[in-house]
Amino acid sequence: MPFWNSILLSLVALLLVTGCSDTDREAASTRFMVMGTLVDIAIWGEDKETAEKGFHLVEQTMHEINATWHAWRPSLLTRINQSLANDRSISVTSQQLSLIRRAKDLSVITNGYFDPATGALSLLWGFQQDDLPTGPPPDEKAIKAILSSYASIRDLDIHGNTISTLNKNIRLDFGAFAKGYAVDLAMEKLKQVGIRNAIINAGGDLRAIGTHGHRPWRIGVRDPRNPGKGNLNGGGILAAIETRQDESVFTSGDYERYYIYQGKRYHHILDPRTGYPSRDFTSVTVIYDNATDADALATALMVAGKAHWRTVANAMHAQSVMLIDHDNHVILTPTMQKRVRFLKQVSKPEIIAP
Amino acid sequence: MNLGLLTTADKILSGFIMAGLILAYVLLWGSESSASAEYAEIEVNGKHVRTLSLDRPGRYAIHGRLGESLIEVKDHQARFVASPCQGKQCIHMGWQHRTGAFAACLPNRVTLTIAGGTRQWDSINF
Repeated sequence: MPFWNSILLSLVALLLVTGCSDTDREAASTRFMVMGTLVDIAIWGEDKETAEKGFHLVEQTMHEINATWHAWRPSLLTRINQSLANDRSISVTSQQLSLIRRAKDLSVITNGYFDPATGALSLLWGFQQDDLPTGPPPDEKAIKAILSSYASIRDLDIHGNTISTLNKNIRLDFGAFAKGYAVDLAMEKLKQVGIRNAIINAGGDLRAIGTHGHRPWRIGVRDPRNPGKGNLNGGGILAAIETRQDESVFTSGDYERYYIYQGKRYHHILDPRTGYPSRDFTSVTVIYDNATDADALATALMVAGKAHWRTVANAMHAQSVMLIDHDNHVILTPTMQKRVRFLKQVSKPEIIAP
Repeated sequence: MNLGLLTTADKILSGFIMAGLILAYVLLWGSESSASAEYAEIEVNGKHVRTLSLDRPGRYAIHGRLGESLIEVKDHQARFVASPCQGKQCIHMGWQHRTGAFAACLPNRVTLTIAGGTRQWDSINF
């Protein structure tokens, strides 16, 4: 082989290796606060103008959902709750009804482990306010009084666009659901303007479409107990997940909204059966095909605990689930085992099929 | 290709080229964080208010909705050390040092985002 042919071949090969590096094109990103959390958006492969338009659409959509479904500031939801408490029916739009109907369906599917009609419990625990409560936890008698009313979204009657109930104790709170719904709605808006590669992350409620150029989107899953402790293997990141085309990665945990009283942690994910915060898991991560259902699923799995999480996962056809308990013991479904890469030393994960 | 036609010099040159290509591939595609973070961007209520170099240790007061949040920079990391919120979750989030990592005091509307290097994560699920 002549010398110059070798040189030419090497130059061509070098071009192939370097030519399309993703580092040439960074994703446009922004961040804003809404729904009591930080919303993080990344868009890849679009010009600045389109990306800015996308950011605006997402922000606008999420503010609208927040204003409509806010649980304690004057909103459609507070009007609904007031009407139901006063034995009156109330009419809503078809789009608003779609959220209520899906929440009711999911409560039935999860056998009540997800039930957004327990707003009275959240109020009693002090989680229906901008600032976190400081304790002490509510009186046991008050909790039992609420539980004895058996308030459930399944008691909601829907006729046409009108909702009513015979159970006046229903107090809807879509805190564990509206963010997922908002993420789905916002993502559809991005698709409508032609954006094909994006991430919307509302405080751990994340949906990703497309890719970051030639590679998948890379998601870091935060360590529930050491969120910021630096080490060479990834800082406060416990594990990595790469998304495929259109997926939602949702994490619910006892570290999101909580307070410590006399050394004990009380968090915001309340078990509708006991009236107390769920106990078994510090964090649950799921990969699912849409954000709305993923939000309810992650909450239901937290509440269902070790005894019943498989029932919930089966009912929701959830294949990719990761659960972490208070001893940092990790449970993975076989599908999740193939998707997750741990960056920190964890005890050998237990692999359990749903 | 008939390898018998290659001279010894061709084979040595081809070996160098292959090694160079493998090295180039690893450097360009294999490393996840080749450049380290350089600064912390501080925002209040979504508006950028300050850029803190991670090379300049110190404590910096940032005025938010409720009062002053105190941010510390040390050993090329940054963290909240005080804030007027009730839950102190911003403080519990601890040191941040990787590009794209962040901590926030939502009640005080103050966020800290590490920037300036190569992002290892496109988004963080928390």
